[in-house]
Amino acid sequence: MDMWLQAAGTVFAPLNFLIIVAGCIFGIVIGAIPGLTSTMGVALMVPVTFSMEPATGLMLLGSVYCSSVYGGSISAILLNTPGTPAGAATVLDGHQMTLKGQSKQALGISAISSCIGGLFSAVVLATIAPWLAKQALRFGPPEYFALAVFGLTIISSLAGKNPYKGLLAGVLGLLLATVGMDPVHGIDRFTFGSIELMDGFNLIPVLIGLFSVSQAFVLMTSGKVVMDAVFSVVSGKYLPPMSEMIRLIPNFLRSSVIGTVIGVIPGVGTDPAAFIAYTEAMRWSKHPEKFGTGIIDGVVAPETSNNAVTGGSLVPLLTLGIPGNAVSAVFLGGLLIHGLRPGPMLFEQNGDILYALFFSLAVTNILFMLIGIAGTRVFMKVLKIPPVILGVMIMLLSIIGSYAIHNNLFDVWVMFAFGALGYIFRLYAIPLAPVVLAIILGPMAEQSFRQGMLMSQGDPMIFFSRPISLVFLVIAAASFVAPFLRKTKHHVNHA
Amino acid sequence: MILANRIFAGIMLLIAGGFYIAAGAYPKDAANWPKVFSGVMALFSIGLIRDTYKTPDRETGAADPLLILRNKAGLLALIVGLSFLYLLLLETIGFMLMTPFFVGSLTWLLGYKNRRKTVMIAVTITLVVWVSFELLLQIPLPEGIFDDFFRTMRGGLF
Repeated sequence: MDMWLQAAGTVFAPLNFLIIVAGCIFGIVIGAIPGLTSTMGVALMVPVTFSMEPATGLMLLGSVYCSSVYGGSISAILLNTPGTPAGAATVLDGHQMTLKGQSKQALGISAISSCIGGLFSAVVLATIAPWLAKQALRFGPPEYFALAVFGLTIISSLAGKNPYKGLLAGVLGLLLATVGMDPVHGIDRFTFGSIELMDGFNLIPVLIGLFSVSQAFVLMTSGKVVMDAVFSVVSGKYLPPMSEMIRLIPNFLRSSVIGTVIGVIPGVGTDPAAFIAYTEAMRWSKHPEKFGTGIIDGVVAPETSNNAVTGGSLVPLLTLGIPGNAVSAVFLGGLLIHGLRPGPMLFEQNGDILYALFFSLAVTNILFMLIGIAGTRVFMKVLKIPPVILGVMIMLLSIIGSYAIHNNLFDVWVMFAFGALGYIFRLYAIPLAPVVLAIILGPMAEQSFRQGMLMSQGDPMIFFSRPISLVFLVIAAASFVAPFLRKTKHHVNHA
Repeated sequence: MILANRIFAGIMLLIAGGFYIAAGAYPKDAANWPKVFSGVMALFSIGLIRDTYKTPDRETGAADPLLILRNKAGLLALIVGLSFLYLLLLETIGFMLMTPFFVGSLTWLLGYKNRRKTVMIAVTITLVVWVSFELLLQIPLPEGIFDDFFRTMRGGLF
């Protein structure tokens, strides 16, 4: 208890609190700009922490991390453009809510969901982190493969009106994910001699292209030089009524657990977590057919889950010294700079700093929710910009955001290629989510499958003989088939 | 949409074939995964073509993508052309000179015919992006012919 009181004292010390607020605002802005990721935001802040006390520096990094994951939802909801990969799943229902004049509520619920997910994972981090970290170590290649397959099954739910097109989009994504070095033997595949392609397509320009550039094309070719009438009507309140919030409790809880668990497993990250939570919300819903049409459940699930990853991803880092994703790798740098060596001893030797960090994560989640809700009116002003000008602005930010990743034009050309693909897919009414999901999970699926086969000397039963892997595969099979069965049942009932 | 879907399926079939043939050049281990999925892609493409005959009314009412592409070809060519020009000259001429030109001309040519506002928008966006990236985030933007000038200015500022 003393430890927590001391932590509260550190967090609420005026200078520390101001730094956390500044970190939240910076994180939200970074997250909302397409191309600038949480990793970039945290990395930019590491040098700033040099001169700070260790606890203060870590609190700043934590606040930027959590709020940038939330910030990605703002542009996803308003512009159909996820600011960070974590916001890709939020686009599905978030932007549809904007088109229905419910942007205010979408932004409000996204702030609340992110806060709940983040708070949940911060509590988990502060209480059962060492136990969770041990469980995560039970994940070997077969489990990773089963998890990736489970995540990929959402493609069948997102396939849209014509399932062939959705499935084709997913398989195209899986093939595009094979570009680059082969994950086991390191052989160049489909790179055509390009050094830049050896690491495969960088996810950020791919996402910016598919979502932002294609959206910019749609806006710029709309010919609308005055404010879009669709956005002139903004109805509803910031928050849904209490009865609706109570109905959403299972979704909040489920998505928080999914996000935290996925965060704990090294190498998975915020984007798959958001998609998996979305699939699960759809699977547990009484009206799965309404997902993708602009319903609040479709914003709650990904937003709760992606922010729940934040605390989860710090579990293996702080307890075992294993950075589970790129942001925690940068975070590791931040810890080492201040002479803190992650691992079991960290809790004993620097408990005061860690508890201050845990407490600050909880405070950060509440702060960015308040800033997010208070800023909703300001964020929504973007909708008053005439579509043609908004399109040009998105195009410029997409170019500069992609350029800023490695300071080279190659990423910008990749972004344009995927932008053209995204625009054509939009015209053909082909959902973009299956391509994105496949590009995110494809490499993990291939690598873990091949490692699993090597482990078992070519016996595929390895994927069915381990309990965690088997459970994931069974659920995956059920969730892949379910949408098709539902459609068949629907056709039979209406015949 | 039927013709558009057949064209789309045909292109996907070609891509699948391309991946399958190119994968043949790699060792078996590295080739298996892309080969399997190019096979799956070919199957789905054939499935889509078959579907256009079996269920021709599946997407009734959907806008014809070929018609939209034909109608907007001029505008798309303009956007792509100007964007490519911007990218090709960005590193040589620099962000500060190229961006107002890119934003201003694109906005104007896309139909926003208020000269004063167009100039204002072009200059404001350029300055906001430059200040945000260069000064606040310390992310360098291409400076082109202004390289020396900005280096001196940054030296003076920080």
